Amino acid sequence: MSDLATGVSFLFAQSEQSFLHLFWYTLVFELPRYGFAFVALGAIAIWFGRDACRHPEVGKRNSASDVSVIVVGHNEADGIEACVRSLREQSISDFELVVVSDGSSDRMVEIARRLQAEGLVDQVLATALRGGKSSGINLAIGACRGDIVVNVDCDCSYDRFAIEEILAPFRDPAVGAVSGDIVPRNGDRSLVAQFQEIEYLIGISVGKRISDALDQVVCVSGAFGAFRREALDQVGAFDVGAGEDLDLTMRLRRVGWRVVFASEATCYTDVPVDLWPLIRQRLRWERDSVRLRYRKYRYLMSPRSARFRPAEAFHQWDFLIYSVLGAVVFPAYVVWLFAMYGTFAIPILVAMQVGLFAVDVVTLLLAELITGRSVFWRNLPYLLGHSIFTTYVMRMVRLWAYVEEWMLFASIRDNYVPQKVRAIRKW
Amino acid sequence: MTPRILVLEDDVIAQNVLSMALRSRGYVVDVTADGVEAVQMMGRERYDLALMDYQLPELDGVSAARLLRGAQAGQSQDTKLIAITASAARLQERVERLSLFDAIVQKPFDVERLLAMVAEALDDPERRRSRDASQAAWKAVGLRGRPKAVAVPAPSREQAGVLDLYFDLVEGAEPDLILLTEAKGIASLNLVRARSDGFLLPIVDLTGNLGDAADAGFGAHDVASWRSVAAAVTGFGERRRRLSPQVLSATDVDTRLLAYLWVSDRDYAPVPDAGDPTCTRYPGFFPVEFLQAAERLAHRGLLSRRFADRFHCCTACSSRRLNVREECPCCRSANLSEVAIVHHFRCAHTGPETEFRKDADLVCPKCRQHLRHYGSDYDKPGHALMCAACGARNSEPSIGFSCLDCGTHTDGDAARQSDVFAYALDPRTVPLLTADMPRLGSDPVRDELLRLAQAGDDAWRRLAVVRVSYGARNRIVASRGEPAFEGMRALFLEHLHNALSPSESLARDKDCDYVVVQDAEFEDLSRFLAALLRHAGEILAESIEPSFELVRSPAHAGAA
Repeated sequence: MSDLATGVSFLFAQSEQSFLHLFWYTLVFELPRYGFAFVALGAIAIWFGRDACRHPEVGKRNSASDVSVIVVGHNEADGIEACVRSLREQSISDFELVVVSDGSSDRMVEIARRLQAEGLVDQVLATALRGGKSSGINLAIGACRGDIVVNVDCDCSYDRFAIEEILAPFRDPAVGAVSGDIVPRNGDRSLVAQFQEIEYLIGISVGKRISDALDQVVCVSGAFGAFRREALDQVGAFDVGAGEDLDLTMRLRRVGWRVVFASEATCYTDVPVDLWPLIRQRLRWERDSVRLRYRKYRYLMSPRSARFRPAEAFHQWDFLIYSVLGAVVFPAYVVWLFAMYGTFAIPILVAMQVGLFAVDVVTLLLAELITGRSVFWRNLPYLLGHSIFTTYVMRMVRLWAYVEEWMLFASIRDNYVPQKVRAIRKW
Repeated sequence: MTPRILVLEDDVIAQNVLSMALRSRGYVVDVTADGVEAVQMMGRERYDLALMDYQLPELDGVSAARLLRGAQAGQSQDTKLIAITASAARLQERVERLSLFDAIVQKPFDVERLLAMVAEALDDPERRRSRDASQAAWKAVGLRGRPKAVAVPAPSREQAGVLDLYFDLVEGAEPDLILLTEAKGIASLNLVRARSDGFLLPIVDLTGNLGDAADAGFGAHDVASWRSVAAAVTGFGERRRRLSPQVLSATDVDTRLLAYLWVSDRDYAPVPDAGDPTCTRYPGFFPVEFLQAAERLAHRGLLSRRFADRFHCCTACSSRRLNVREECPCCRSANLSEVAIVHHFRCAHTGPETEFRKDADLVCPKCRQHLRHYGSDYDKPGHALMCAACGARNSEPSIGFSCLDCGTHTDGDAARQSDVFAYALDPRTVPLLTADMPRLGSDPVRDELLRLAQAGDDAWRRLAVVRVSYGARNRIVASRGEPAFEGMRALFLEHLHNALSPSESLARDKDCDYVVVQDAEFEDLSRFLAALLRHAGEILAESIEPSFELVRSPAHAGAA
C-alpha cells in the first residue's frame, strides 16, 4: 500500500520530460493503441447511429435456403448434439446442415446419424482416419450445396439471431467473408476465465468493431465465420496447418474480397479455465500468427513485392511492432528500470499500472455503451487483475511463442496437423 | 375316370333300356332324341362314346354321324361312334359309311352283347397297360394298389386322362389322398375337405412348387416321390385309424389342427413362400384360422411353440413382401453410388475420388498436382455415398422398405416386425387324441380332463368320468319353475363337492354334471358313487333323483 501511495505521488510529481523518460515503454507500445481506440470508439458511436439510419431493413433475410452450415470435429460426441440443436433454434433455420467427423473414434458419428434421422442434420460424412481440421472443412465445403458457407465449432452455442446477423453483410456482393463475435460463456468458472472474458470483450467485441471500421479484420474466427462459396472456390478453401482461419482470411483479403465483422452475430464458447491449458492455447495461436504473417505471407509487408497491398502491409507492421516487438522489448524495459532505479522500479511499475487502469476503466465503460451488454460492473473488479495478468503473464507467454516459432520452428511438432500431412508438407 | 356316353335315340323305350344298362356298368350316360341337340352336347362335353340310332326321323344317319364327328373336331381324343340300325347289311353296303362308325349293332340288339361292344370300344389297351404298370409300381412301394385320389382343382378331361394313369380318380368314394394339380386349387381345398375326415388326408403336390408345405410331392419319373407318396398314404391311414371317434368327428378348428398334426406326424412349421403376402405357408394349406388356433393351443400347453423367423411388415397393408434398399438419408432415393474420399496431404483438399480421377491418374482439382504415392502424397480415409437424385453426400445410407404389394415406403426403423412360429404336438397331448374320450361337450369338463391329462400319463390312465343326470328335473321345472330346480341342484352339488376328496373333481355342464375320479378301482366305483350321491342328496327336502352313468371307466383306458 505504501508502494501504491509512493507510486501515485511519484506519478504526479513528474515533469513532462522525466515522464517520458520513465514511461517510454507505455507511451510507445501501449498508449498509442489506447488513444487510437478512444478516437475510433467515439467515431464508431457516431457512425453507428448514422449507419443504422441509412440501412434499415433493406434486403433483410427471412430464409436461409441458399446457406450451408458446416460442423467439423474430431471426437466431439459430447458437444455435437447441443451444437446442432442450438443451430436449429435460430430465427431462420432452413439452412442445409453438414456434419463431418474427422476420424472420430468416439460416438460422434452415431449421434450425428441419429440427429439426421430426426431431420436436424442433412448430410453426415465420416472418415476413418484423421486428416486434420483443414481437410475436414474442405470435405464439408465440397458437400455443401449453398452459396454461403457458415463454419461453426462443435463446442459452441449461438444467440438466436446469430445466423441471421452473420448473413446480413453478404448483401454487399464485394463481401467475401464475415466474422462473428465470440463471447466466453464460462467466465465465472475461474479467475483465468474471467480475465479472458475481459480480453475477448476488448479484443474482439470492441477491437474487431474498430478493425471493421478500418477494413482491418484479418482473421475470421474458425469458431464462427461465414464465407461466400465463390470466394472459397477462388482461393482454394482451407490450407494445411494450424491457424487455418487466419490463413484463409489473409488469402481472401489478398485477392480483393472484403472481410467484415458482424457485431451482433454472437457465438458463445468455453474458454480454458485453468492456466496451463490457456498457455498452451495461446502458444499455439501466437506461433501460428508468426508463422503465417512472417513466413508464409511475408511478401505482404514489402512495397517492393509485386503482391504488396497497403492495407495488408498496415496490419502486418502493426502486429510486428505492437505485439511482437512490444513483447520482446518489455523484459528489456523491466530490466532497465531495475538497473536504473533499483527497488524503486516497483512503485514505478505500480504507477504505470494505475495509469493504465484509468484508461482501462474508460475503455470498459465505452465497451458497455458500444456493445449494449451490461459488462461494466461485472468486470470492473477484475480489471486491474486482468491488466497485471496480461502485462506480466500473457506477454511473456507470447514472447516465448515468438521465440519458439522463429528460432525453433515449434509449429512443425504440433500434432494439430496429423503426422502424415506434416511429413509431406514442410514449412 | 368314368367313361361318358351319349345316347342318341328317338324311341323312349330303347332310351331307357340303353341308359339303364349302361349306368349299371358304371358309365355316365346322357340321353337325347334330337340330332341337333346331340351335336350341341358333343360340342359342350367330352364323350368317350356315342350310341346313335341310324334311322332317325329328321336326320339321315350318315349326316348325323358326320355332324357328330365335326362337332368333336379339335378335341384331342376321338369319340367312338356306334350305330344302331335295323339293317346292318344295308349300312355295310355304303362303304363310306363304314369308316364313320367304329362299330355297328343290329336291331333288335342283345343288351349283354351291346355292353360288351361298348366295353371293347372304350377299351384302350395302351391305357390299360399303363394302369397295370402303375398298379404294380404302387404295390412295389408298399401300397395295396393304385391309391384313390381326388384332384383339386377339378381336372379337365385331358388332365384326368393323365392322372388316371397313376391314380384312381374317385369323386364319391373315400379317397386316400388329395392331389394338388395347380396352386390356385388351394382356395378350393376347404370345399373338398368339407367331409368330416377330409382334413386328415395327405396332400400330394403335383405342381412341384409347393415344397414342404405339402405332405408329399409326386413326379412320375421320380422314383423317390412314389415312395414318399406311399409312405404318406400308409402313415396317414394308420394314424387315422388310431384316432378316437370323437376327435375324428370334431368340427372345431382346434381339435382338427391337433388331429392333423398327429396324423401327418409333422410339426406345424412355416415354409417360405414368396407367392403369398405373408411369405409363409404352413402345412396342410389350411385357412388362417388354423394359425390362430395354433397360437391358442400353444397358450393352453397342448402345442409347444418355438421361434421360426422374424419378418418386417409394411405399415400400411401388413404384407411381408418388401423391397429392402439403401437410400439417401436426405431424399430417400435408392440411386446411390459409393465413392472413395481422397485426402491430398499437401493442399488439404479432401473430396470424392471422382473429382480427382482422370483416367488412370489422380489429379488434385485444387492444386493440379498428380497424386502418385498412396500413403505419402494422399490417402483414402473414408467413403461417401453420392445421391444422383438430390446431390447429397453421406457416409452411411439409410435403410428403407418399399412394399411390393401396395407401394408404401417405410423407413427402416419405423417398419413393424412380426414373428413367425413353428408348433409341435406336446407329447402329453397325444393320449387325448388317441384315447377314447367320452363325448363330453362342454369346455369346463374338457378343460378339467386336459388339466388332469397334463399332470402326467399315469393319472390319465386311471381316470373315471361319471355323468350325473337328474331324473326329477322336468317334473320340478314344470311344477315349480326352473330357478327352483337350479337352486336344488346347486345345493346338491355343493354338498357333493364337500364330500369329494382331492383326487376327485366336479365339472358342471348345462343339463348334467360330471364327476371325475382319479385312481379309481372299477369294482368299488359303482358302490362308491351310489353312496356319494345318496349322501349328497340328504341335504335336500325333496329328491332330484340323481342317477349316474359311467362315461369313461379306468379299465377301458385308451392305448397310447
